[in-house]
Amino acid sequence: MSAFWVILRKDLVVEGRARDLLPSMAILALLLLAMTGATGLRADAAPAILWITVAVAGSIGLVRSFHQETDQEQLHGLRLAAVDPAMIYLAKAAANFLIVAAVELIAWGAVMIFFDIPIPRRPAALAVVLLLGTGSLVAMGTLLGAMLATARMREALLPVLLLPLCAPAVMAAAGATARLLSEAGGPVAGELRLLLAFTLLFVSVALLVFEHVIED
Amino acid sequence: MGNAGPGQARPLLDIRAVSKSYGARSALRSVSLTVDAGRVLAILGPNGAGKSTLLRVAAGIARPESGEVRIGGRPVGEPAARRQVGFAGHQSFLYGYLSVEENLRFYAQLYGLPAARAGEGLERFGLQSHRRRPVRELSRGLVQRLSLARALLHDPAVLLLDEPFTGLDAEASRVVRELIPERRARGCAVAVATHAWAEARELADDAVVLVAGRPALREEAASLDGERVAAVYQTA
Repeated sequence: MSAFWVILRKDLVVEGRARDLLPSMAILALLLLAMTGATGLRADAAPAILWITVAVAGSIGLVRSFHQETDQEQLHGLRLAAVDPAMIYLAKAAANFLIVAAVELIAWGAVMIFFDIPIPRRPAALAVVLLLGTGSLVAMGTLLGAMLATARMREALLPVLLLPLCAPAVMAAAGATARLLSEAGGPVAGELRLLLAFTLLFVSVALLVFEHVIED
Repeated sequence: MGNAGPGQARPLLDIRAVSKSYGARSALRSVSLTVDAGRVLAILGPNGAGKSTLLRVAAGIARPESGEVRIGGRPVGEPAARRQVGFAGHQSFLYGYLSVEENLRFYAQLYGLPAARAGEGLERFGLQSHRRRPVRELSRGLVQRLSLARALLHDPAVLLLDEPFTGLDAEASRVVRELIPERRARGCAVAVATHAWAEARELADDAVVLVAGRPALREEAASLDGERVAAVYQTA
């Protein structure tokens, strides 16, 4: 089994037992959606609220995702085993993606209830928007999580850094989601290209710098 | 400890003029030393002398500002060299929510070893009865034993131990005391950082005393003298 799968599986097993990330992110997302839903905002605001909620809840979780690699310096154990830093990053990002995607599914269900929005008519296109939007958030969030893993103010710093960096991707994802939910519909190819470009850019930057980020 | 001359075998661990700082504080100042196959080097020194930093640089998990480390003749930055190193330090590198056995299996998989190696490690370090327990529930002594099992899982040629006796129970101390001569007999190069000169004299072949990031005394471990070591510490 490659290092990627070994680390990914370990991360999911640890999260399944520690329940460190998913419950706190899901509860925060539900609270934010319930509060905004209760204010009587119209359904066409729901996509923007959904994506802002996912970005905020995601940033809370992503900042903690590297804690399990630093509390006993486990990252050094991985490096001593000569695991390619790119594999470490990709495995951590994949685990984070699955966790944030799970939060997103919960949030999506909540949005449908609190904002009374219909079942999307173009589910495949919506799935691609969710995939790429989540991908861009997680790609940058995982890198920032590693950079801030040992920083004193990491809980405050990660959202402050992640949200502006990912703002264009969040806006593109929210715009595409709104169009896919609206009666009028419309093409979303432009937003999808932008999301794909952001995801690839963030992953590429992360792969270039990750080795230096995890050095002592 | 010695210097490899023409015609001699290369030392397994070769640290050349290594310097390392943390901010304005110099942790290591142009430290050079070697450890040959089948030799044990004790690294002594007061707190903050640079012992842990030296071992971390030797393991390749801390990068020096200058100088280089070679493992079996290869730069420690190369994956093939790094995989020859076993390191047990103050932190265990273990995952608290994984069981004892899962931790060893995890590292065995990363090293591309068969799962049976995890079982051998459990047996070697008397951890079989604890195999299903999460690491976060273990005592300090058991964690240290598991950390050593992890460090030796891949049968490394170079073993680096940072204060291996700190906080250990009698059983775990016995395991470490047996482990060091066993590794020496297998042709390993072993470097042990310790505060205690008596331990160094008992277990090591050679000793170096670090003071303020510099080797202040080098000699055979058998001739270590407590008063002299203490006098060298005073110069810190």
